[in-house]
Amino acid sequence: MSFEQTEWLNNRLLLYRLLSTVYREGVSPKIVELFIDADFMATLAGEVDTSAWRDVCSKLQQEVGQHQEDFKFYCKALQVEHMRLFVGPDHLEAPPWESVYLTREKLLCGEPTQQVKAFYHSFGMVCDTEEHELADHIGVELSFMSELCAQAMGKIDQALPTDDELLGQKKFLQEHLLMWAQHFLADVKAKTRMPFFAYFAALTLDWLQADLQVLAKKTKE
Amino acid sequence: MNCSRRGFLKLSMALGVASTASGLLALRKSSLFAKAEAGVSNETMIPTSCMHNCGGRCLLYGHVQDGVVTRFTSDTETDSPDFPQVRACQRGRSQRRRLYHPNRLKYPMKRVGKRGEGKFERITWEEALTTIASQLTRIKETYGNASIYVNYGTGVYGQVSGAWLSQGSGGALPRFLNLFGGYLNYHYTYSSACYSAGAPYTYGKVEGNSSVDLQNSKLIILFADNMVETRMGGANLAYYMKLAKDKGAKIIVIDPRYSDTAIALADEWIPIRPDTDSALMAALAYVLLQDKTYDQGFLDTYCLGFDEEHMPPGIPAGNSYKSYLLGLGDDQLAKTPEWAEGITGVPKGTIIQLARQMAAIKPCALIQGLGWQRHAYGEQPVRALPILAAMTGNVGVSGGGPGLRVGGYGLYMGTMPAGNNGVKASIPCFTWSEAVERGHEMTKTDGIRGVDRLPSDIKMIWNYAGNALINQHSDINGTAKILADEKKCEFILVHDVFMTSSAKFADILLPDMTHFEREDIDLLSSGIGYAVYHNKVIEPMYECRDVYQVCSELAEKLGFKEAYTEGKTEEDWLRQCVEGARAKNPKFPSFDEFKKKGIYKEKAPKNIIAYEKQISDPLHNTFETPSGKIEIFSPRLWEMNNHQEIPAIPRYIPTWEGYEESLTSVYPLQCIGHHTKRRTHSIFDNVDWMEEIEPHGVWINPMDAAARNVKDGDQVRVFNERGEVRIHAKVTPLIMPGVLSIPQGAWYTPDEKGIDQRGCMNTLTKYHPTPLAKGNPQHTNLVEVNKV
Repeated sequence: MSFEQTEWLNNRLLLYRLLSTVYREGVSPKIVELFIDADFMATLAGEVDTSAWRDVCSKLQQEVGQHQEDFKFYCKALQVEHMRLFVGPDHLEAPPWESVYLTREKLLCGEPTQQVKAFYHSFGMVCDTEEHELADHIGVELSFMSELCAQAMGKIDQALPTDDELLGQKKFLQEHLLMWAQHFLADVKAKTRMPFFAYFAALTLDWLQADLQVLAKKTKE
Repeated sequence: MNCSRRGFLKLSMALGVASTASGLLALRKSSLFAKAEAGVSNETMIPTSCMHNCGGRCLLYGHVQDGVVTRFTSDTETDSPDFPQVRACQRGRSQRRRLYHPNRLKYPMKRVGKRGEGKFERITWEEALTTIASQLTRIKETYGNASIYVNYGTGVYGQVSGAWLSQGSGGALPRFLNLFGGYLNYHYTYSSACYSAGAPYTYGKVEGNSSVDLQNSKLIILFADNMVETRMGGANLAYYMKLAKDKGAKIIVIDPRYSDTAIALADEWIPIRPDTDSALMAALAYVLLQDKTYDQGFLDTYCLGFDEEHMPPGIPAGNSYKSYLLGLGDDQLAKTPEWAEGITGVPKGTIIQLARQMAAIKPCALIQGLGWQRHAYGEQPVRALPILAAMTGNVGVSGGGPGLRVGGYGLYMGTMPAGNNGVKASIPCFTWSEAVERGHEMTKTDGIRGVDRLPSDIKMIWNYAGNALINQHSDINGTAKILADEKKCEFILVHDVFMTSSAKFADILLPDMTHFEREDIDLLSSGIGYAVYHNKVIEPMYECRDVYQVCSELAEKLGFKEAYTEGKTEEDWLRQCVEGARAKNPKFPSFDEFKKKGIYKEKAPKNIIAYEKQISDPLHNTFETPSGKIEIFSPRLWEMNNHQEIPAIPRYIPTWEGYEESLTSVYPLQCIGHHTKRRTHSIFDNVDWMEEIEPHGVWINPMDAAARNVKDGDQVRVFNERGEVRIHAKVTPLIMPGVLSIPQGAWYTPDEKGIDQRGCMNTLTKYHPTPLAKGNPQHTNLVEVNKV
């Protein structure tokens, strides 16, 4: 059971890390290549047992598959689009911070940001990136889910229970990520000019909802 | 190895994640998280400021919890007319919406694509600074330091980080450039070019009665001044006007709009057509002459050139102001109220009544704002109002005034020394775009100072905390063409908080901090003089760096870091500034006290009356003019030999795109761009609260609107041959017929066809420097408007 648990945690850790990286840094050529790698896509498609999930995985694979000829150009276009949606310098079409979506003011550093910081703090962590990214950036919140996976895996190594981490992940999805993700991801879908990001947004939402369901079951046991 | 493990192995490799001994994969140390430190944090209140170019610098307190500003409040000290609260206006109170705006610039960027397209790529600070250093070096070596220009900007004030460069004012940016060998200077401002150029020809040194003195006036007449909207801060001019009104002063407002000042203060509002103020003043003077209610004795004693008997030698007869008024001069045209009515739109009865009130009610403060001098012949009204002050004997008198701008009491503050600029050349700040195009041809006749001819075109523009690269400069479409030519201006550096329309023209775009992320000292001269220490409220966000940091790092790359920084932090420099203040003013508090309190207020030791000594004791105190008198007729202007456009006496000059031209033009409406309380120039345009206070729209009189089937709120196009904007119509009787106003400062937002979708005034203005100041005539425009 322990090994299954560890593998489950490890896979989730990597998937959350993937999601986090795309929203924070964009889609590097190495990551783009994953979406036409048969092994990876087979694994990915198997992670959630719904037809919607399998469908969006297939769409991603097809979309990237269409750009093998102009691969370099396609990767560049993805980076430009990432900047346009999430980084700047112009008006951000999908500002990737919880505070912007969950406050009336639509500003950075609102109460949700402080609550997220407190949540991290309760697990002994503080967000600390080179560029002083805010705690409630989508990429940071997704990465936090990875961190809790890692923390849980560390607990298993010490034969300690992982209830706190799993419960924490469930709570974080319920109280934070899934409170704003659908609106943010809907904006990404609506505003993006590249199908890749529309599919990736759908993938992200499906993953979060599916992961919550699994966590809900596991934390009842 | 099963398929799943192979799949995720590839994922982990793509993510750069390390593998452990057990074959499982875990996060590498390069996590986004660090261990949390234990800590309790309470809310603290940190004194800071709102310090933009609104004519005020106000006190703010940042309420900080856990490193985040939860709100800003303002001065709550006991309030009295002697020591008013330096209270922030609605803009200051909305600063969180700038500080935490999601669209803040966060990372350095470099241009990809054509200049002005607005396509950028994120780069590291190292790459940005290396590029800037190499461009500075290349341009200096190829063209000389005089080809490097710091564009006029006023987004930031402060002893260290200030954007506006004036000789002797010091600061991080000029200090850096001076150590680098210098840069092309500018003189004057976009605010007050014609005033700064014109007023000294009348009075020599420019002074004003202090705002406190307004409380001694029985009648205050405001020409082109809207302080209730433009100088709103708690200790600023609007407050002192209110005190004056409470004391019983009668207030008359002369303005094409029924402005907030008129609403709040005026007993009478006199609408006047833009560009025609000098005609009104001539007619007012004519009435005083005819009524014989003017002070001949004053004019005889103190003035040069009012009448033929007091002209300088060698000037042909008929060139005195009196001759001008009576039609005995070259135009043979008497400046009667009837004549003025036809031009100004002010009924002759009103003119006569205004003149009679001016003469009868004493003391009378005749005050000019800056509105009327941002016009084609803006030098003229500046010099005309002083004549009325002289004729009514109000100069040098408490409650009166010299017919100039209101003065104030200022505190001395030490500077961050900039050293000497190796470049002596200076251009009128408005003419920079011309200096990009043909700088090497520009001479003294173009207003160049310090050299006979500019040695070079402008080859590099450093645009810091300013939006005059495109948004606030005239003729946006024309300017965009000049900037787009990379062979002309070869390098443009923009350093700002937001992606403004000017930032779109950057080659390198740097993210600035808001002033809440650093500290500095600001000053204001008002009824009281005060200094604000704005503390650092929060840590800098993202990769934002301030100008001192940027210049320090550039200095390091260029080999003079030690000379530049002297090993000092910003706080060290500010300590030095305070030491400088205390050396001149022992009352000034210690650095630590000042920093802690955040503000120091001082009352003027005595009432400030302009030219008091010259008037009370003329024998021993002359005016700083060549004749020692108030020069209504200026021999120096006469000698320039451009009597049509630079007359020796102030005259009404029918202007290009003025009222007379509107009568026959395909663009029949005059259009000004007044300053609105919802922005400070172009700052706050992206703040939602401010848009709620006053949604952007073009002011249009119901008569003009009806003639064009335009209703309030309709989307309209306002256009002339220079460009077109789309904007909502604000149909209102608060603006006179025949005149539109587009509040200035909205961000230029062109669509693919180049049509501005936001409504930026400067899409419509003309690049046509005024004759003497070479200033900006941004209120002189003819346009047409129709429904979209």
